Amino acid sequence: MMNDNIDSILAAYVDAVDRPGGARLDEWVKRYPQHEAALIRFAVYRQASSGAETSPQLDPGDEQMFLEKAARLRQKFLTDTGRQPVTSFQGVLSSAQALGLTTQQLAARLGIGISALTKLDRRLFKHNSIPGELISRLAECLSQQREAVLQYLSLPPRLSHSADYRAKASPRVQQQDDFADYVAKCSDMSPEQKSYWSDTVENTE
Amino acid sequence: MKLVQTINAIPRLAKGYTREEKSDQEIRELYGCNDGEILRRAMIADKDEPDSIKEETILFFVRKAFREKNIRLCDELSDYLIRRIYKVIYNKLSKSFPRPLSIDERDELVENILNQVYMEWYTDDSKFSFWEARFWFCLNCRICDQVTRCKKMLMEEVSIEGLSDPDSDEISWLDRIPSREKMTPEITAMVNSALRAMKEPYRSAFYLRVYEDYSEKDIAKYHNVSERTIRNWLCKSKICLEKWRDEMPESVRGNR
Repeated sequence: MMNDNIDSILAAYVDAVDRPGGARLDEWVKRYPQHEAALIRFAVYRQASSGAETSPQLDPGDEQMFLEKAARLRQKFLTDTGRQPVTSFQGVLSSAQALGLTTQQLAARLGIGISALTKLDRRLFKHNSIPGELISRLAECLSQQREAVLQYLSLPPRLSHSADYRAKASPRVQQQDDFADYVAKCSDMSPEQKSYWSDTVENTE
Repeated sequence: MKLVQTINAIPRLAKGYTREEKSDQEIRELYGCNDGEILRRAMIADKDEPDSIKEETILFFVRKAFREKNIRLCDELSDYLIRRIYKVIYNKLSKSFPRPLSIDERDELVENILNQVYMEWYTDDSKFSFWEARFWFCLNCRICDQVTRCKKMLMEEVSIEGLSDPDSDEISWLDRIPSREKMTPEITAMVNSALRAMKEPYRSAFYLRVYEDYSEKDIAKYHNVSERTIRNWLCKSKICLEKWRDEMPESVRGNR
């Protein structure tokens, strides 16, 4: 038995139209008179958009803008519906932003470079290579439970909102780096910062 | 025994809906897995990768996370779904209008679609559970809703200058357009192009007359207007077709 929901009726109508012999709209309207407007609206839309070969000319930043808009609307929707998350820690940079901290300010407070901070946000470090002291500092700066931050960092890497929007293929997540290895080679940390974190890692091993 | 418990724990869809077998299998595999494993598989967008999962499956876990107030998982999984629908939305929008939309027009449409999508994803209302059975179809329906709304508001009014009396035989040439079954691909493409350019309610009147063989009386009944009004609308839709008329075969075009 078919569910009387309009989407499932439209899907059944389209399936019937696509079968050999097709389907007559007026017969479907007779069968579901309460959905006459929706059936006609969808049939018109489907016919008008069929066969159109135009591909949208997307600007390079279109995908990024779309993803940012979608994330903003999602946050608003989730807030408006009053959902209280089990853990309020949504991410490193978004938590900083919520506290009014810029990426630069947070990086300075943590004593790391912006590139390393961005990698932390996207979970691009092997979580067991991140010094405990950095996790504690992060939790303190972001007014979060240390456990919540640790749990976040131990999840798989996430894509950036601006990931490879020019690429034809789907963006792929980068491999996770060892924190100490990355710090040693990164170009946006001072020698003092590098030395500090290198010593910290060595002392905890 | 454990498998039976897992299957019993998975919420069923509303009566009359069934999940695709592949999605059903993926849900069973991932049900009870930790967040990391679900995210790892949701992230794989390439359908040829063995560990990739369907959009219906991701949405199942989005809703599960939402119910359980695991907002971080809900947010990240939603993000992966959004990445998958981005190009489809822009493609469908570009195929629905005769000219490129302005950035403002497109942004408004996209925002309306996304708001509607979120409202239907983040709910336990069984009315929206069809998304977990036919994800892409439901998305297409939401795009259709917004395109139709936009057709009533954004597109320029078809000029009525030069229109003759709708009771004359000016629209009789519509009868010369072959029925849908007999249309050649070329004529179908031309008529569809005209359909994209028309504003509502002219285009639904035109569609019903040309593609569905509705009588003017039936179209009038549907729109709750007089038959004379329908003839007027068909005259207006004819103006849209003029642009393509010259390209049509003589048998359709008739004497001008």
